[in-house]
Amino acid sequence: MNLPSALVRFDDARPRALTIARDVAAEGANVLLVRDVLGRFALIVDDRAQDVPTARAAVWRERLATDLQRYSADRPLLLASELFSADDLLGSERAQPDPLHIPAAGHGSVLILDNTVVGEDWAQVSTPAVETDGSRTHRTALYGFKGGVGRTTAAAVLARHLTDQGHIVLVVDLDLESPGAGPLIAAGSVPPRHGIVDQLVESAVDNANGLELVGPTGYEPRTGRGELWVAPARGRDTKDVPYSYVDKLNRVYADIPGMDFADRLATAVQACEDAVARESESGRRPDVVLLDSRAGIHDIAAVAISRLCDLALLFGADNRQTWGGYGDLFTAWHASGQARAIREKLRMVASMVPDTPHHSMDDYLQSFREHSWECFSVLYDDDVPEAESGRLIPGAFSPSLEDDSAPHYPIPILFEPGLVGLDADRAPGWQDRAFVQAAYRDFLTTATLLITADPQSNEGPR
Amino acid sequence: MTTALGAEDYRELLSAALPESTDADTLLPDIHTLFTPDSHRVALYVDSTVVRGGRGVGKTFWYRSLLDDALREVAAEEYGIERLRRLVVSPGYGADVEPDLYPGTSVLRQLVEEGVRPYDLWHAVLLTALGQPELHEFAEWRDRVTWVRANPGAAERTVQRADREALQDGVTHLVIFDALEHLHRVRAQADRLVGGILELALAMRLGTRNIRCKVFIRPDMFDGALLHFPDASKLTANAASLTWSNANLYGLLFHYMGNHDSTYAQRFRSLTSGWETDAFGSRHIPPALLRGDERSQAEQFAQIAGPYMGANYRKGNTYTWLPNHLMDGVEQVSPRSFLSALNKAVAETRGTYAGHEYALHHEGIRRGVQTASETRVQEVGEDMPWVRLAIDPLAGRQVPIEQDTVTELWREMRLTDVLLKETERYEAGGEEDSLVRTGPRYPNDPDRLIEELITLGVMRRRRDGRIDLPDVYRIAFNIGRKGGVPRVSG
Repeated sequence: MNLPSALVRFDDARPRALTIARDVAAEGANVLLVRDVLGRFALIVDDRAQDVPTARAAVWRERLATDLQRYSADRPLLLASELFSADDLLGSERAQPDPLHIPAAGHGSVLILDNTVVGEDWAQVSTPAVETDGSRTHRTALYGFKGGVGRTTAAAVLARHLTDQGHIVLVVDLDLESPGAGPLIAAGSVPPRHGIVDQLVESAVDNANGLELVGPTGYEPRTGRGELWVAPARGRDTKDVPYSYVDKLNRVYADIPGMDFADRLATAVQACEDAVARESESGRRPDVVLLDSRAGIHDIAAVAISRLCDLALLFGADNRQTWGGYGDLFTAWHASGQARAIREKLRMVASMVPDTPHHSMDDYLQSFREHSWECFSVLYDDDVPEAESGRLIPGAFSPSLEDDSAPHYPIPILFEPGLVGLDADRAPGWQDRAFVQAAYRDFLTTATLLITADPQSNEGPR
Repeated sequence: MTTALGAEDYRELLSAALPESTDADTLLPDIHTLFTPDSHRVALYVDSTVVRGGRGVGKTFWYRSLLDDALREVAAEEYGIERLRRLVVSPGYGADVEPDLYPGTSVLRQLVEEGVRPYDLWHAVLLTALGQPELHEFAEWRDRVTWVRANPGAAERTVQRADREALQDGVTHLVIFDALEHLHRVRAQADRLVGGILELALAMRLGTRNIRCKVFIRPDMFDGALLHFPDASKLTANAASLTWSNANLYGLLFHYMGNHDSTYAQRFRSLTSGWETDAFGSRHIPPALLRGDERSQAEQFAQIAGPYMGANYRKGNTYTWLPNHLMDGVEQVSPRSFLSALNKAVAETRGTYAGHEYALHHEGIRRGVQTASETRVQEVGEDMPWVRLAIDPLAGRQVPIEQDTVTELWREMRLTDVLLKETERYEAGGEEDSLVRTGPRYPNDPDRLIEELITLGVMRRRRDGRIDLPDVYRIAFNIGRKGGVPRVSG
């Protein structure tokens, strides 16, 4: 007697589909598993080099339909020889190898192509390349899974510190839904006429020339030739025409012909950097760009971390929301085969670290470190002794808990109640106060070294 | 005029100056290499009765140095501890065979079997050191102990007289104890014997002014003795620890480099100016910045190994990398692991990266950790062969690992039987007596076995309860670490 099998739900479908794909690959053919925007799977079998018997194809087709139920596509099995554009699909840059599949001899490969409405940028990791003149703009994204972890304040303190070190620094406010970095950093100075949203809407109609995207902050570094620039999300109001921020924001996420959202955002950041070179007294491009990314699993964050930056500082407090959120994010990177590429860009920041007589910073950081390691271990190599020799293979990227250069190892920022709800306009010189300096000391030293170091991989945007 | 040392010069100096990786016990202190880290000062106070330290941190080193007049003089000078100059030091127990001064392993076993009270036994050792005339007439410790038990009054008077005379002479009698893991193969008996030493030490501390004991002891053995001598907790308050900070470790390295007998060492000293020759003209003392200032040390080490473990800062810092990777579960680094890692790093760089711009290549340093891990495992295996027996069944597994999985693996391998058999092997006696080491306290209780391993720093417990192993043990035992990304071979 057959018991009615349980319904296949979204989460069940992927592992089931992968199992079938691997089994088919084990028979010798390369396969591509395609998931549509609703989550349904179709398997494309590359039969161009070797014939697939009709009977085998029928068996696989049947198995896909049975095992995946509602999550099998209308045509669950396709043969490359019958497709009009097989090369485009099978050779697509968006297709990623199955991260958990190590083909044995004689087996075909397994690729996955995930079609989504949004958020696909998480699955496309790349690192900005050096400029054509050989210089490098170091782009660092500051990201927090949850808002309210002091990310923007840290960006402001860090930007000034880097300026004091003689760098030309540009802070780009990418927190479009709740802009904050612009006003905080520019405190007191006149914001530029236009913001990132203006660049995004104007460029969509090929009208971006002549925008005033960046403004000097008026910050005078203590020594050296540093400059601090800001590219706010929102531009400046004028007397005559109302500045319609919401109307603009509603239009920034659209794909336009030849350019998806990620390309548009990359172009906007580039435009801001070019504007600094054009408008600054030094005539130099920024050395360091800080991207204040918005929180959460959002396309802007996806583009900022996966593609625009060579370093992403991930802010968090030691709590369930932080680790749950990063856990989801890391799992997605892992599933899309991006673990190796992304882990070299990431570094955890423990923000709002308590340090009181009864709750010491060391205790807090110890707990933070363990949770962080647990979360990051998804992206680390599985360091397992070789079956034959029983010995470890040297060279695994599997950092220990105490490895102070590992992505999970937190850079601390002390919790400072005096900074909660800071109104920068009414607290001039706040960043120079002793308590602020003490709270950010480790962060500034370590982050500066990380930001100004060259990225480990240097492949350039794809 | 001084020319900078090139990469090959530094390699020459390092491989000549770094000690060969031999057994720590046979590495005798020597006037040139005696290094005095600030953090060990308290351990040398005459009133620091208990000095705790794990394997390989320098217990025996200081024990021997205190027994040597010249070395003790150096320590007194360098630490500014005048009392060290006015000591009469005698060994109360140690690894050396000194049947006239203290009973050896087989004698101890016999005395324990006969039910001798440990306190009486050590009391006899103390009185022998203080020159009790009657005791010298007996060759056998059994007879000496019997005399002590039978003559409490005479014993007391001897102590009192010695104390008074020492006061008049302005000296202190210091009886020192080391190598306590050799006392008895049965852990509970070893604990009782240690309890006796501590009891005597406390009695002298409270009852005399100028008779003191100093006990060099592994932390787990000190904890074990507390079970047998509750008053030992009175000794906890001023117990000193031999620990090695990063600054101490690098201070030791530079001390070795500056004290080698070669022109390279001489050039190294003039490059890093500020070295002083000690009061006896035999040692070179590194300048304070090189001895203990992390920033200056990091700068100096960057001259030798480059600043980063690769292309740049994102790959990690050479200065912190080595200690971080050699740290055990209780966050201690043994100086011998540290030096042996550097030794390997030089050899590896010479062999594979001879053209490298620095004396040490970061891959060489990485390989050094592998060697240091083997050194460490061997080191611990010498003291506690049972640790090896307990960890070996985990080979091929991955950490973090559930405690239940560990105990299940032990059950499958019949670890309890193995441990008991190991004890029996020692029980067979004979020549093995000199190798007696302390077994686990609870060989048939896996959960407590794990606690013992955690105390020893071999294992550590994650906050979620799972068991982890620090790299310094994990690597040599071939235990992997769980991660999410499968490694593609080749």
